[in-house]
Amino acid sequence: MGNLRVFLKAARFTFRNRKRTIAFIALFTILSAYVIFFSNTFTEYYRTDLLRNKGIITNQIAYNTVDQTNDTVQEFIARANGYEQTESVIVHRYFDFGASIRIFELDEKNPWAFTLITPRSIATGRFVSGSGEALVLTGSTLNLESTLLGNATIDPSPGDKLTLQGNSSSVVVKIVGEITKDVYNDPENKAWIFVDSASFDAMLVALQPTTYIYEITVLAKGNLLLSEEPYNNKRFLVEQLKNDYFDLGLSPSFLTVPNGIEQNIDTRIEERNSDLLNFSFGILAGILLSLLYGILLSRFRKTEIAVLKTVGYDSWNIRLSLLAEILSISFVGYLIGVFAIQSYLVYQAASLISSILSFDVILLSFSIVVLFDLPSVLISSYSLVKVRPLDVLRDTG
Amino acid sequence: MVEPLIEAKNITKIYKRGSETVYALRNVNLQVMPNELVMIMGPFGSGKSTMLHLLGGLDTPTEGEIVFQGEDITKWDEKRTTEYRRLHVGYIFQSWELINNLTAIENIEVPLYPTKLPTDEIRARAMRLLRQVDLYERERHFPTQLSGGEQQRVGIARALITEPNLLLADEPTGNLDSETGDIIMRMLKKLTRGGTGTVVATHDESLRRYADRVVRFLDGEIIV
Repeated sequence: MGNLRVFLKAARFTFRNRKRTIAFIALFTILSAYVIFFSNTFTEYYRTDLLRNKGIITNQIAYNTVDQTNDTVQEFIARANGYEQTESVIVHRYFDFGASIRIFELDEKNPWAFTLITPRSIATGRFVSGSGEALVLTGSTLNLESTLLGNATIDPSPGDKLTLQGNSSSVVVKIVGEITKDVYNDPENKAWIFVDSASFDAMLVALQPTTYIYEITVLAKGNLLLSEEPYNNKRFLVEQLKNDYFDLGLSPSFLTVPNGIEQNIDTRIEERNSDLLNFSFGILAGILLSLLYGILLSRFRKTEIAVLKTVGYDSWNIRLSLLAEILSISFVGYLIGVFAIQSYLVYQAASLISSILSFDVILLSFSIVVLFDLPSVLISSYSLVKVRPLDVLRDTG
Repeated sequence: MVEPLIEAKNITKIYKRGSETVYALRNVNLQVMPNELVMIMGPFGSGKSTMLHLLGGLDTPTEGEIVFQGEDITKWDEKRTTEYRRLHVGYIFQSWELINNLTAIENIEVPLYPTKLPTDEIRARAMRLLRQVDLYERERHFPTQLSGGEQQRVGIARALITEPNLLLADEPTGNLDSETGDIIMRMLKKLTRGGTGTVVATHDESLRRYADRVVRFLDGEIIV
């Protein structure tokens, strides 16, 4: 209880020292904004650019042309899976429910590996994260006229439950979000529903529809940030898959494996290196700022710490009080930094929907900012815990 | 027979200043009884502050022992000495040494924050002490908004909040005018009750009237 009180009081008292607090909050804000910006860049880099940098996508020209049981497609998937350079092969399937509804499978483990929608496509609600969840298009109307549910038209929205009734069993999914209409470009003008993999499989059992393959995505092995391996792997896989593709006679049911990726890869390597350099600069600046803060704090609070030791504060009490001050300042700086970057993204995108910082970015950048605090905590603790109260009291007799 | 609250036996304190050896204290013996205000008087550099530091567990003697409740505090480790300072000693500084970004009441409460006492109890004690030092209406003032005398009274209240056995005051009136100094000394005299022993180090001869006993230091030795 005592230590907690020391921590909380120290955090509160920190903000009374206005000049020092404002100066360091401002510095931590700048640093946090920098870190958040680049964390966002890198997270996006991993996600949005994942397909561009590591993925080779083949998808359909027209719907209802390649069903799941097609031997050549299955062989193509098997070959793609067999290459040493392949990290994974992700297959997105769909089926038609009645005449006007098309249900797509979402791989919630690889939400960014789907060309139709990604978590960024969410207009309201949230993305699918578990079993029994579904997404619909904004403002879509489900015309159930020709389904087993009978004649009905519904306007689904997040929170609603949708029951898909088969001959002997049914599957219930809960709508958790709506997808922005931008993705909607279906010449057949069907209402699209996206469901998680488990629900999709359950629907196949309950409804026994003919299932089609919409898209096959092959991801190359390797870490995008750490090496050129994924680019080399991708180069190799493109050639192999192209050979397989034509060898199996898949064209024209599927789009061919894309050409002309070399320039994109080289550009991305340059961009990546530049981003890494900027990020490293931010890390270095953070460590330097933290050291500076630790050194200044050791000077500012020397007398105060000597007095506290005189009145009976032990080393842990002193450390906690320093930790409280440093964490408070950096946390407030971080919050302002989040607000600043969010505002910047909104301004850039002119849309609130597509520019919300993700939880991952918040978590990653906050962890980095907390790590930045370490040098200041260590240096101030090291020098202030050693302070002898006599240093203050020696000025008399 | 009443036992001394604290007893310094044959204390010698030597400082090294380069190659020079300086005797801050030489074979000093001092007893402080409960309810007694002992005044250590002497000129600058006579060793009176060093004596206070040793009694308060802020420094250790080169030779000799300091016995408190039957134990030699010079043998204690850092943890026990810190505990001794927290539980048994109240320290009043010449230049008050209040924390500038804390209000008067918070400055008084500070020594109790690391303890297990409930926050309400701490606040109640601090308010009681504020009344005792006649600063009830200055509760939310910061040190820079208080006069020197008022700051010293906050310093006294801070020293008393742990209900210490031993109150150590180093030149408590050194930075005050004589009228305010008298107020502070009357306060210290009044507070030296209930088993508390007070040791005041000063060079100001006019304060000796407040002492129950005067001990004179010169060049690290007791001369009277």
